[in-house]
Amino acid sequence: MLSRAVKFIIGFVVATVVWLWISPLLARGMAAATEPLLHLDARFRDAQLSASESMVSVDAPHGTFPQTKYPADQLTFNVILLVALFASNRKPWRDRNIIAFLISLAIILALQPLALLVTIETYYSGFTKWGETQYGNVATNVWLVLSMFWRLVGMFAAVFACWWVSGGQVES
Amino acid sequence: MTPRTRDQLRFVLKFAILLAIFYAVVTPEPVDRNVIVPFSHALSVVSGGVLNLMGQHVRVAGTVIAGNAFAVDIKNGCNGIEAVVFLCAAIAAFPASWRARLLGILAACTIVEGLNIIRIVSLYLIGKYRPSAFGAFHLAVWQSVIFAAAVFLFVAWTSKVRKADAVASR
Repeated sequence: MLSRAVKFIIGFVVATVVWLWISPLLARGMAAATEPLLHLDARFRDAQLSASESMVSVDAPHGTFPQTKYPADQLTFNVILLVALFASNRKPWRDRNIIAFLISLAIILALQPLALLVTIETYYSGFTKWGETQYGNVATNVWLVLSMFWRLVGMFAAVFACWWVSGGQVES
Repeated sequence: MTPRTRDQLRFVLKFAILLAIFYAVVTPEPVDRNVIVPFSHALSVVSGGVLNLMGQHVRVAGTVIAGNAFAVDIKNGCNGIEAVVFLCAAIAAFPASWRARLLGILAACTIVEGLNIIRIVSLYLIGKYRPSAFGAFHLAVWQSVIFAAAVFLFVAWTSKVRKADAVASR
């Protein structure tokens, strides 16, 4: 357990530094991947998403909805835990561990645009005057609950589930 | 699919369902008002006491710990309840006796909340003395550390339960 903890701490520190460095890149990727998803909602058909540093901006070229910005790094830092957990496995550089890590990373990265989509819908439905005319009470509450669940528990639970299914827990 | 993979997937499915159920239990406004907020207040009182022992001269009002130069408010997401929910779901989903599960939940949640007091105290000190680092520590570092601790405690508990089962089956 001690060896696992030491490897975890090393992985955690390295992952934090790398995450701080690549956060703007992750934000750009999220903005690009989330834009077509947001277009599925007719209210945001002409929405344009762009990233500057770690902030993702949602713009309406025709002024159909208010503009907003969101710190995307609040949705991406679960990759730190993912890296640290896989680093803590008995033989972290073994092919099997690296492949499992890459598959898990792909899953976590694929979930991030969905998380941003939920966050944007939550903001507009619950925190704008415009949203009061566009969303019903049920929709507003559903977006809010989904958003809070993901940010408080879900984003870490997804990382844990990926790591657990990959068999990392039995190698201590 | 190997039996081990099937067991792991079954565990993850149970874990996900229980996580959603436990989260739904702690989320409603009456639970928040009557259980979560008083709990956050208790955490604030203990953390404020620790900070005062360190000579910080802070006051506690509700869930706010305030000093002369800085204040922190213990909101949902900072009270460790999310890690407690995670631990309860993981331990309840794992095949073990109910006694082992209850003891595991009690011990793990106590440790996580102890760690959470360290988080609150350190965030107050970081906010006061290194405000530029507060955002990164508040968001990325401590959130990840709390969940990492929850995962480690769960893994430690599962290995203890497996050993006990192995001894019992001899």
